Amino acid sequence: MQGSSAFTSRAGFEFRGTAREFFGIWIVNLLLSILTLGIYSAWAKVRTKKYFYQNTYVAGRNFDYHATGMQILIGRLIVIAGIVAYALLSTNEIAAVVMILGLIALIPYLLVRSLRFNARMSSWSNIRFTFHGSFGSALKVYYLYPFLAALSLYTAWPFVTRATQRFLANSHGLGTTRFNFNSAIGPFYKALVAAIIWGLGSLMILFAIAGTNLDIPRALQAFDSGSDEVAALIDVGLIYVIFLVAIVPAALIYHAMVRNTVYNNLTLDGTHSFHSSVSPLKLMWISVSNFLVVILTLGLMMPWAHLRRARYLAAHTTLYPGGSLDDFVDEETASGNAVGDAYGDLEGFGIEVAV
Amino acid sequence: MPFIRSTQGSASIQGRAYPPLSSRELSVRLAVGQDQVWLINPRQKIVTQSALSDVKIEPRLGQAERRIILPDGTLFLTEDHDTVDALLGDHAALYGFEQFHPRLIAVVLACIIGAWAMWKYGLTALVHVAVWLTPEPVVSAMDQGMLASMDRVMSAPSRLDAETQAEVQQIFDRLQEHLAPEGAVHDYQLAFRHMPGMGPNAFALPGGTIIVTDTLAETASADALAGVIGHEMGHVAGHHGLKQVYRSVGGFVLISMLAGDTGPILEDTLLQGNLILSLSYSREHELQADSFGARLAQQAGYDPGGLLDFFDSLDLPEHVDWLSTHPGFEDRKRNLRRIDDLR
Repeated sequence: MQGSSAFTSRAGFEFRGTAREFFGIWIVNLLLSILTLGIYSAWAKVRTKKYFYQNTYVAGRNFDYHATGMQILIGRLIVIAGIVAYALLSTNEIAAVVMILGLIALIPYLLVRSLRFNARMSSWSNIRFTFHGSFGSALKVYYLYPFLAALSLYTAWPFVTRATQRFLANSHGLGTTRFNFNSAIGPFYKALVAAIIWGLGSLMILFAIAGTNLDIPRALQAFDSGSDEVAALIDVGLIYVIFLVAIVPAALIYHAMVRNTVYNNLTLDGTHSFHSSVSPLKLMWISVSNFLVVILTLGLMMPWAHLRRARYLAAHTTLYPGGSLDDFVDEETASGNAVGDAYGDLEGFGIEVAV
Repeated sequence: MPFIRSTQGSASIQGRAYPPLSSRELSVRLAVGQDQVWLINPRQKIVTQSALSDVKIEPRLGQAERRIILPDGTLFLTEDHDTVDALLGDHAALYGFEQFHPRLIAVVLACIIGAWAMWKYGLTALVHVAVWLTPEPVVSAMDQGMLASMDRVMSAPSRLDAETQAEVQQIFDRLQEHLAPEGAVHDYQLAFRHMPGMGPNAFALPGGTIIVTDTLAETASADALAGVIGHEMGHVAGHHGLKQVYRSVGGFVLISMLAGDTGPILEDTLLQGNLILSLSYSREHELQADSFGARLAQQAGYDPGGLLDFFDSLDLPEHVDWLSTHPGFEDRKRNLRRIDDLR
């Protein structure tokens, strides 16, 4: 805590919130959101984010979230107006084509705006984060590279992931100090191989158990036509099982390993480095058991599940300061813009430096 | 900086502070006087000060450190919530409700009841406002667009001869003359289409375009046609199409806004539930349109039982009711017989 000498060689991330406390915040948020026909949900979002940020400590200093409910509400109203306009106008063929083309161009722009807003509204140790990514880089990362990867039959997908993470990490800063990330491609391919092994392995086991009875075309047809033929319904169930047992965990494994790679090769100003030791299997266990507990309690254990995950991630993330943490400085606070924010929500980009 | 000579008449709160735009952590206490506050470091030097009324105190959020912002941008943090509330006034309104207490059971129940009421009444009210706000040209544009996409996907130009078309048009005109003034504000248009696979059927678009399939025009009696066209006019007059668009968009938006608080599983359940429950509105609309059609046909001088006879002639199998957009024919016939009894 002693200010001038906050110079330790190892500073773990630490989450200090409790499920008991967050439950109250969560349920009151939900009630007020319902009673106000969803309007309060903007303030609820801010309160939830503040709770998680303010309870996350690194080297005894916590994060904070600074957006106001009104900013979030305005952003959402603009998005809703867009959805309504789209729903009404998309019945007209020409308007629909124009709008889809417009949306394709608009998405990277909204994404950059949203990342900038979220960075400016987050702080650690009284210093706001910044985002400097450009529209052009977003276009490359989200359209050009995935397109090129598709030409390689997705064998080059780890390159896309690395480019995305480079774009996100290197565009972020803490005040006037910039983050820096670079890594060899090896760890990304390792993550992909691990995900594929899980996906194929679990599929083989599944098919060995139920394979002979599964008729995917029939299931898809049943899904389309809403047929209530019992056998077809079982097949639809099996598609869900495949999704839950093979695809979701494979994606989780990939993300967990990519997260480790990103943190392990991330520095702040080349001086302070990070370490992440998240275990993909442990994270998967947390996700699966969270899922079951939330279902069995009809959602009431949601706050507990959120907290458990946040605590695990924090406990496996470390900062190695290479110098004093007192020397970060911020520029004059610029006010952000909330338009992209609700859109950012929909996508749920999780690669913020704040756990 | 001057030394504090006496802290008499003021109390203080222990904590830490950051100077404006800096991450330099200072161990300080916040001394609170009558109408002034001072940040004082361990060597009793004043770091900064301001008028009490210019200090921004963030509301309490669980046990998280309280954040107090001085006008120059200095951030003061403390865990001593009680002293903050005692010295600087209570900023813990929500915090009181959020504490883990049996009262939260009532909050959970209120959430469930509130969600149901919002879906049932709140959304209905919003849908009505949205329908009322929608400009007429937008609705007409929807009709043109929908008709164009139907023509591309499932319908062909009508193969009916001019005589049959004129007969149906005559029924249509007669019905339109007998519409009540509040139903007559729409721009009713009759369109004929050849739609193989759709059987004897008719469709209403939100702006007032009513499409009659060739099969319907050829097979149905004049009384049945009056009932069916009246039914479709009922959809238009009741804004059923627009209401369903708004209800599904509105439900989706509301659920999405709550999603951050509900989590993905509950969100999916709510979205599916919203879809299935929305169908009940669709079925209700069908029954309303049936009644509207039968009454309109009667006023225009047709046999209101025409629609009933038409359903009898269809001889279609029953289906799972709660997953359908339309009620079962038995329900629709029962509904129509009830009107006939009124006669």
